[in-house]
Parts: sequence; structure tokens; C-alpha cells
Amino acid sequence: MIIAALEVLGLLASLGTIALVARAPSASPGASSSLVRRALLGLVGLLAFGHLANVLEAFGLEWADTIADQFSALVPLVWGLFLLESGRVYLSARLQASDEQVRFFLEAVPAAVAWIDAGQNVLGFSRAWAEALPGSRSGVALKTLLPAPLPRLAHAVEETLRDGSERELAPVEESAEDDAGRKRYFRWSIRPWVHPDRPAPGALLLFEEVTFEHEAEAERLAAADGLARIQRMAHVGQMAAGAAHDFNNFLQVIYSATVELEGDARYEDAFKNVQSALGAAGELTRGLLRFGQEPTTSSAKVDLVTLLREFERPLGYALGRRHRLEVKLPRLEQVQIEGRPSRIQQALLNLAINARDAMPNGGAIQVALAVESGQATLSVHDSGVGIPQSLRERLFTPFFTTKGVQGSGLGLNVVKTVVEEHRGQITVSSDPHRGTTFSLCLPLFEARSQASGTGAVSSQSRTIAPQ
Amino acid sequence: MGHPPFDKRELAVLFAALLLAALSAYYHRDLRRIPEWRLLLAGIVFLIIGSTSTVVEHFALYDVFNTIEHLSYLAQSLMLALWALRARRVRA
Repeated sequence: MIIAALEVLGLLASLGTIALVARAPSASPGASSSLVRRALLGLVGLLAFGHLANVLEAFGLEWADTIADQFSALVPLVWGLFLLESGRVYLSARLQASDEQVRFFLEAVPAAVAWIDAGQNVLGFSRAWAEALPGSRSGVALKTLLPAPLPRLAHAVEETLRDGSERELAPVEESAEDDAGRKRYFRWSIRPWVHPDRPAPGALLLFEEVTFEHEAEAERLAAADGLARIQRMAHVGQMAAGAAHDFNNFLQVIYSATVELEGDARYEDAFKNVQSALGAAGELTRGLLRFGQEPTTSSAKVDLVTLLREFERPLGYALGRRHRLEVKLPRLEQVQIEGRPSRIQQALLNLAINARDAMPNGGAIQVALAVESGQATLSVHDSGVGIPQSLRERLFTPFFTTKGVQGSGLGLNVVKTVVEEHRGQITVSSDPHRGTTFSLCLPLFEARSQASGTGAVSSQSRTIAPQ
Repeated sequence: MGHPPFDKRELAVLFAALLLAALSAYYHRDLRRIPEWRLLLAGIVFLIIGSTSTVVEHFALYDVFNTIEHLSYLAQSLMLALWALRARRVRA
């Protein structure tokens, strides 16, 4: 009777289980799974049948137990099926829940972080990541999101996902050009990360663009460099003023000595050239002494035709015998600009010396004057080796020189300053086979008068021919 | 009433139950993902006890092992009933 009672209890328990499972699906994903429910119903049904058979056997119906024995071997098999399917369903459900949790935490992270799977696809990402890399969505390939090809990052991702190594744990900066050709800078770090419920290794990628920081730093460095140049220029100005003061004394000695030659027909030409050069040198030293002071506003009408004629010979002396100076003048009696002749001569001298240095084997240097579009154009052309494109932007930078210790790097800067003082423009054209041409475009006196609205020459203006 | 004769199918059930236990032990990490997994493990243990008792009862202490057998099958059914009841309330 005890056995019968136990079996009745077992039968009731099994029937209760069947009733429970057969009802509406529960909240549990495992219990609500179709196959899990069927397997459980089958298992409990077999157990119920066994209990019923044993109850009937207790009441003398031996055949019932015989039939039940036929199905008893199925019980472990159905147990196995039930466990297998339950494990699969609950694993899948847990994986989904874990993924949701990971995505939730990633979204809460303020940095641009993404979770990369073994296939290099983005599975989850933070809000900052979505803002930094538009088009991000779960499952999309990482490489399609990057704004520029980053080979080092691609390699690190590949290595990390392959063996889970932490090669690039420290932040790495990498630059690349985007489709528009703009150089952009990125900072990233990657570390392996294994999802608690996923067998394949993944990675967490921290990614940010730092182009703005780089540009700001470059501007800061450029400003600091400019300040340093200004400070150096100030020092040079002080040194130049001191040197000019002493040099002026020597000029006075030379001037006094040459006065003795005045009136001697044999040295008439030489005397004029020396006087002219002394005049220019004197103006130069006075200019150096004024260095650092506010630029003078006094200017006068300058006839460039006369200036070039007078300056041709001293310029020829400066170039030496191996170089031939060719001066081309327009068919005009006068080409007048407003400015200072000594400064124009200074600019021409610097350009001519540069042209000479560009032709170490000698050759012709052409100095030409032309008038067009209300401007006088003074050009100096050499047939030297030309100037590489990469150097042209820095030509007028103070202290930039290609002559090594032979050059000061100030010549072209002085030329540029002179042109700016005359409200003109300087252009450079260079060809490796044809040489280099520097062109100084200076507004004509009439054009400047009309542009300034004066309509007439001021009473302080006067025509000056070089001394 | 005499004892029923030994049936070889009872031995087959025992081996199947032991195989199930071995597989459950091997995949215990996956088994533990199932909520209330201890109830299912207890059900398997009771299945083994019942199957073993079914075989042993033919060789010694028939009444004792027969009672253990039926108690085990009852416990197995109760474990499954409890699991079905509790798993309904569990979210993964």
C-alpha cells in the first residue's frame, strides 16, 4: 500500500506538472519555448504513465506494468532532449540580455567607445562614437565607418581579435588624408574584450579625432615662431643700427677722399659712380639707423628710367666680370612712382646679387622696366637653376637662405619690405630650365594719386634723380 | 506475491541514465545557465537512484530497494513539477 501511495503522489505531481506546462506560455523564455515545453510534457507524460502503471499493478493489473516497462527506456532520452533544448534556449536568451546590457553601458560612456566583434563589425557603441562616426549601427563593418584609411589601426584590430594581445593598449595617434585630401589626426586605443556569453574574442576600441587640437597646436607654434622671428629682427635691428653708425663714419672718410678727384677729366665717370654709390650707401645707413622706428611717410616722385640708367653701372660692378647685366627700358621718357630711390636701388641690388649667386658659371642678368595697367614693373631675371616649388613659400621669410653660411637670409625679406613700403606687389616665377624672374609691381605716381583721391602732387613731393 | 524476474531493459535504462549523468557533468557550464538548474540535477540524480534500485532489488533486499525505487521516481516527478513551477517566474 505504501508503494501504491507513493505512486499516486507521483501521478498527481506529474499531472499537475502537465497542467502547469500546458497552460499559457510563461514569462520564462525556456518554459515558453515550444520544443522545451514539448520535451518537458513528453518527459512528465512518461513519468505519469509509469506512476499510473505502478498504481494499477498494485491493484493486481500486472499488464499495465509490463506496458510501462516498454517505455521506461525513453525516460533518460527525453531527459537529455529536454536538457539540451533548455540549455540552448536559455543560452540564447541570456546572450541577448547580456548584449543589451553591454550596449546600455557603452551608451552611457562619455568617450567614443565601440565593441568590435571577431568579424571586425561594430556591435555596440557609445553616444559619443555615434556622433563622431555618423552611420554607425550594430553589425556594420568598422572599416566602412572610419573617415580615412588608418592602416595601423586596422592592423591592431586584426591582431587583437586574432590572439587577444594588448599590443596597442596605450593611446596611438595616427594621421591620414581623407577623401577631400585634408590631413586629419586620430587618437585611438584598443584592448581585447571577451563577452561573458560569447565564445569568440572581441575588442573595445576607443577612437577620437584630434585634428582640431593639432591645428591649434600648429597655429600656436607658428605664432611662437613668428614672435621669435620678431625678437631676432629686433636684435638684428639694434646690431645693424650700431654697425651703420660706424659704417657711416667710414663713408664720410671715403667721400672726403673722392672729393679730391672732382674736376679731373680722367676720373670723371669713376667719380660720378663713386658719388652715386656713396649717396646710396649713405641713404642705406640712414635707413638702418632708422630701423625699428615708425616708417617715414615722406616720399617723393621717383623716375625709374632715370634711376635705372644711373644705377646700371654700380649694379654692373656689384655683379662682377663673369656676369653680364642687361637693362631693358621702355620707350618712355619717364616712369614715375612715389617712393624712395635708395630703397628701390637696395631692392634691385639684392635681387641682382641673388641672380648672380644663382648662376655660379656666369651669364646674363636682365633687369627690365615695363609699364602696364597703371603699374610699373621692375623685373630681374636670371637663367640659373631655378627655385624648387617647395621653397618658394619661404623665400621671403627672414633668415631663410639656401646659401648656407654665405647668406644671411635677409635679402629677399628686405626686397619684400621695400615693395610693401611702396604699396606694391612682388611675384616670383621660376623654371628649372629657364631660370627665375622676380617682378616688383609698383603703382605709378598718377595711378596712386588718383587712387588716393588727391588728384595732385603734394607740395612736399619732388622729382629725385639718384645721386 | 513473488518478486518479478530481472529484465535486461532495466539495465539498459540504468546505462542510459548514467550516460545522461555523464553528459550533464561534462556540459555542467551549459546546464548551469538554466534557471533552477539544481532541481533538474536533483531529478537526474533521483532517476539514477531509481534505475539503480530497480536493478539491485533483484539481487538483494528487494523490499528496501523497491521502496527506494518508487520513492526516487516520486522525487523525480516532484523535482520536475517544482522546476516547471519556478521556471515560469524566472526571466533569463
